[in-house]
Amino acid sequence: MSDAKYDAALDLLRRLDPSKTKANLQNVISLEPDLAENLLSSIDLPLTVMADPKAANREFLCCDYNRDMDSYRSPWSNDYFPQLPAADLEESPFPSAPLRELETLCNDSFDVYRDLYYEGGVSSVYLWDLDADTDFAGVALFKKSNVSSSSWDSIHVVEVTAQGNGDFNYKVTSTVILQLDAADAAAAAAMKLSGNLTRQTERDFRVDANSAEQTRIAHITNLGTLIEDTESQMRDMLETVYFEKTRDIFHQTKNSLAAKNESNKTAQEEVIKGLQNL
Amino acid sequence: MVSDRSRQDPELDDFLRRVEDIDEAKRSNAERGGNSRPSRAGAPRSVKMTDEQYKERDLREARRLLQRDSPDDFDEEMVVDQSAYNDDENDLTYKSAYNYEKTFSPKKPSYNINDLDLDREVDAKVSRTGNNPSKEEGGASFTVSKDDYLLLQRLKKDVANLHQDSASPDRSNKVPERRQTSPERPIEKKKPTNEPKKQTMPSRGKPRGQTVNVQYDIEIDMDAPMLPPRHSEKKIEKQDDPYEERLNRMQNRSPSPQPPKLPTRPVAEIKDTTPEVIDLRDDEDKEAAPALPSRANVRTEPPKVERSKKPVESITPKERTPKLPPSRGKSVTELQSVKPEPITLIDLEDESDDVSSLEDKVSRTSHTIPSRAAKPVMDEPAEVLPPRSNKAPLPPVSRTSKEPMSFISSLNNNKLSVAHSQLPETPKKKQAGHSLDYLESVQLKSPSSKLPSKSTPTKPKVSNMSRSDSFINSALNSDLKLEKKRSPEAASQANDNSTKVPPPVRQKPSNLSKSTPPPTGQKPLSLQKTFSNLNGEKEQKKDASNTPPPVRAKPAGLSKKENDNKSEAPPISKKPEYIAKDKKPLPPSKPRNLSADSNINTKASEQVSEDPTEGLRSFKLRSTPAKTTSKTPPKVPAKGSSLSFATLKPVAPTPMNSSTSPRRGNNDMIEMPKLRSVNGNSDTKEGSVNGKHTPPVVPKHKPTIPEALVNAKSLKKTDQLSNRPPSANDSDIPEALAKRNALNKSKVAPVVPARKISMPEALKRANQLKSAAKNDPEPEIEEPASDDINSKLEAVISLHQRKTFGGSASASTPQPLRRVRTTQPSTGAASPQLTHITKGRAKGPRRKLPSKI
Repeated sequence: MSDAKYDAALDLLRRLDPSKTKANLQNVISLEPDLAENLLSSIDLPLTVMADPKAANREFLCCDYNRDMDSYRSPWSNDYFPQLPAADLEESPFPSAPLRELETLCNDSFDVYRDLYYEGGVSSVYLWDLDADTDFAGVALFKKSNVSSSSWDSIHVVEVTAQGNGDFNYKVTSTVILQLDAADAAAAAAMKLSGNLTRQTERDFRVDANSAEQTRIAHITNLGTLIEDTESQMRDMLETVYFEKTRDIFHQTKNSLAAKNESNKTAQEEVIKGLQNL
Repeated sequence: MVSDRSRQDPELDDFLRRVEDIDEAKRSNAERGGNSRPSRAGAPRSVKMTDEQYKERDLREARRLLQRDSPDDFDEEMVVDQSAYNDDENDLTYKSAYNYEKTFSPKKPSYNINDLDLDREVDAKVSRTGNNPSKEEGGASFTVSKDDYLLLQRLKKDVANLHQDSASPDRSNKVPERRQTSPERPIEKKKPTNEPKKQTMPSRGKPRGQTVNVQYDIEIDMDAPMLPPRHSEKKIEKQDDPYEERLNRMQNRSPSPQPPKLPTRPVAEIKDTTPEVIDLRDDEDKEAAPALPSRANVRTEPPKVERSKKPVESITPKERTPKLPPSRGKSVTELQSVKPEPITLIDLEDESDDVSSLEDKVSRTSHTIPSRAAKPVMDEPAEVLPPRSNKAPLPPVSRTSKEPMSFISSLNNNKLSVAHSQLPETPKKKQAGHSLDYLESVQLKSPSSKLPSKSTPTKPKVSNMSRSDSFINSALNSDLKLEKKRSPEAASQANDNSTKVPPPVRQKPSNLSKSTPPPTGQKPLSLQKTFSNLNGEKEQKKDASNTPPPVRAKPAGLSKKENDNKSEAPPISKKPEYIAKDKKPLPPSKPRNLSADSNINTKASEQVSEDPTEGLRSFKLRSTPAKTTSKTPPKVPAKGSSLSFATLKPVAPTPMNSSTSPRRGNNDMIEMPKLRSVNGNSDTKEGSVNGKHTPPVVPKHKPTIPEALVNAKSLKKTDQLSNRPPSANDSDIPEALAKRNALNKSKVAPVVPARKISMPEALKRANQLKSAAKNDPEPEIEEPASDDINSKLEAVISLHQRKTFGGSASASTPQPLRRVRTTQPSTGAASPQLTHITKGRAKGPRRKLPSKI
C-alpha cells in the first residue's frame, strides 16, 4: 500500500502545477504523513539560499539532503543553520572526515564550475556516506536567480558505488527546475512558465586508489564531467525541444493562418496522393 | 489681366502663333518701312527666329529646287517648309518649355511679377502701339496680344537700343539669323512660360542651358534637324564666334542677357548644320518630325504648315533668299566645327527611326533622299558611300557610326526603295558579290594549300563557286536521295539554276527547307569577306560549314543505286569528278565521299547535258566549300570512305545483304558459335555439325561454357519462378488459379523465348531438362509459392480495384496497421505507470523530518 500511495503521490505531484510543488507536497504529506520522508527525498523543490554566518555569510543552497529538522547544513562551515540544539545536533547527519574533505574539494571545484557556466548564482555540494566505506552519495546544487522569482535550479544527486578493482559506478540523477516569472506583477499574471526536467545517467570510471587524494581528485573529475555533460544536455533539450515546442505552440495559437495553411497543405497532399494513386 | 493669364495658359499654342505672326508682321513692316526698332523689338525673338529659319530653310529649299531645277516651286516650298517647320518646332518647344516651367514651379512667382510689370508697361504701350495685334487679330487675341506686346515692347526697347548701335543691314540680317536661332529656343521654350518673361527668361535660360544640354543632346539626336538642342549645346560651347558678339549685342538689347546668348549659339549651330545637311535636314526634318511627334506632334505638321504658310508668304521669300547666302558662307565655316554634332544626331535619328515607324517619312523622302543623301555624303568624310544613295543620306547625318548607316540604309532600302521586292534582290546581289569576292579570296588561298595535291588549277575556281552551290546541291542531293524518286535531271536543273544565279538558285532549292541554309551561307560569306585575309579562320568556318554536308552525304552514300547510275558518268567526266571529289569530299569530309559521288553524278549529268563550262562553274561554286572542307576530308575520308561504302551500301540495298550482313552476321555467328559450342558440349553432334568453325571455337567454348551455364542458371532461376506457378497450379488445381497461373506462365514465357532465341536448341533442351528436374522438387516448395502468388495476385487485383476508387483505399490498408500499432503500445505501456526517476535515487542521510510538516 505504501508503494502504491508513494507512486500515486509521485504521479500526482508530477502532474500538478510545478510552481506550486512545495505547497502540493506539504498537502500530500499532510494527507499521508508516512510518505513524508520518501516524498521529501524524491520530490525536488526549488532551492533556497541561506547565508553561513560562520563563513562570512557565504551563501549556500538548501535542499532536503542537507536538512535536519528545520536547519540546513552549510558546506562551508559544516554547521546547521539555524543552529540546532546540542541534543539534536548530535543526531544530525554529518559526513565522515574523509568524505568531508572530498565535500570541501567538491564545493570548491563546483564553485569554479558554477562561475564558469552560470557566471553567478550559488552552488553547494553535500555528500553523505553510504553503507559501504568506499561508497558515498551526494548532491550538487546550482541555483541562479537574478531576476525576481525566475530561477534555474539544477539538482544533481550522485551515487558512487565501488564496483571493485578501482572501478566505480557513477549514477547521476539530474533535475532542472526552471521557473520563468516576469519581474512585474502585472506581467507575471500575463505569463508564467515553470517546469522540471529529470534525467538519469550512469557511467563507470576507473579510479586509482593509490592515494586518498588521488581518489578524491578522480571522483571530483568524474563527477564534474558527468554533471557537466548532463547539465549541458539538459540545457540543450530545454532550448531545442521544450522551448521550441512552446514556441511552435505559441505561434500556432497566435497565427491562425499558419494552422489554416498547414491544414490546407495537408488536404492538398491528401488530394495529390489520391490522384497519384489513380 | 489675371483672366487673360488664365486664358493664355491653355491657349498658348494659338497665342504663340499669334505672337509670332504679329512679330513677323511687325518685323516685316520694320524691314520694309525702315521701322527696324519696332519690328526688332516686337519680334526679335520669334520673328527673327522665323526669318532666320526661313532663310536657312529657304537656302535648303533653294538647294533642293536648284537640284530639281524648278525655281518656281522654290518660293512656295520655301515658305511652306519654313512655316511648317517653324511652327511645329515652336509649338513643340513651347509646349516642352511650358511643361518644363510648370514642373519647375519656382519660376512661376517671377512669372506673376513679370506679368505685373508687363501689364503696367502694356497699359502704357497698348495705348501707344496696340494697333498691330488688334489689327491683325480679334479681341480674343487682344488679351494675348497684350502680353505679346509687353514682351515685344520690352524687346523692342532693348532692340531699339541695339539697333541704334547696329546700323548695317548685313548685321541686321545676320543678327536676325542669330536671333532666329536664339528666339527659336527662347521663344519656343520661353514664350509659353516666358510670357511671365524677363525674370523667368534668365532663370529659365540658365537651367535649360544647363539641364537642357543633356536633354537636347538626346532630343537633337532624336530629331536630326532639331535645331534647339544644337543651339543649347553650341551656346555653351561656342562663345568665341562672331556670333557671340552679336549675341552680346542681343543681350545688351534684351534685358535678359542669358536668353540671347543661347539663341546665338544655336544660331551658329543651325547655320553650320543647315548648309551641310540642308537637304538632309529637310528630310531629317520630315524624319525628325516623326521622332518629335512621338513626343509631341509629328502628323500635325502638314496642317501647321498650311497655317504658317500664309504669314510666311506675306513675309516675302525674296528677303529670305538673299539672306541665304550669308548663312551658307557661315555654315561652310561652321560646318567643320559642327560636324561632331551630327554624329550624335545620327545615333538619335537611328533611335528615332527605330522608335517611330518612318515609313511615311521614308516614302516622302525616299525619292528625294538619294540625291540629297549624295550631297551630304559628299560633305561628310564618307564619300565612298554615295553609290548607296539611300544609305548615304542617313549616314551623312551621323558621321560617327557606320552601323546606324547600315541600319538606316537597310530601312531606307526596305522602305524607300518602295519596291519591297527589291530588298531581297539587293542583298542577294550583294551576297553574290560577296560570295565571289570571298570565293576569289578562298581560291587564291585554298589552291595553294589544297589544290596542288589533288586538283588542277581549274578546280579551285570550281570549288569557290561551288561552296554555296555545293551546299545547296548537297541539300538537293540529300533531298533527292531521300526522295530517291527524283531524277538526277531535277538535281541538275537545280544545280544549273544555282550555278547561274546563286541567290535565286538558293531560293529555288530552298523551297523545301533550303531557304534557311542559303542565308546562313550568305551571312558567313559576308563575314568571311572581312576575314578573307585570314585563311585559318576560313578553314575553320569551312570545316564548320562542312559538318552539315556530311550528314547529307551519308544518305547520299546510302543510295548507291544512283551512284551506280553515276558510276557510268564518272568515267566520262573523271576530271570533274576528281575535282569535285577533291573539293566536295572535303566539305562532306569523310561521310561526304558518298555525297561527293552523288554530287559527281549530278555534275556528270549536268556536264553531259550542259556545257562543260557551266559544269566547271558549278564545280567551282561547289568546290569552294570542298576546298574549305577539303583539308580534313581528303586525308581521312579517302580511306574511311571505302570502308563506309562497304558498310553503308550493303545495308540499304537488300540484295547486298550478303555483303552487309557479314558484320552483323558475323556478330550473330560469333554469338551463335558460342551457343552452339555450348550445345556442342552438351550435344556433341551439334558441335560436330558446326564442323569447321567449331574446332577453333571449341577451346573458346570451354571458357564460354561456364558463361552459358551461368546464363542458363540465371535463366533457370527465372524459369523457376515461372515454373513454380504451373506446378503449384497443377497441384492446387483451382481453375481460376490455373488460369491465372497460365497467364503468369504466358507472362514468364515470353522472357524465356527471348532467351531461347539467343540460345540454341541444346540449351533449350537443357533448360527443359532442368525445368523438368526442378519440377519434381518444386511442387513442395511451389505450393506455398503458388499460394503466395495467388495472394499476391489477389492483393494486386485488389490494389488495382482500390486504386480505381482512389488512392485513399490503398493508403487505408497500411493505416489500420499503424493505428493498431499505435493503440497497442499506448494502451499497454504508457497508461499504467509513470516512471519516476527520482524514486530510485539516493535518499540521503538519515535526518529528522521538518517540524513544519
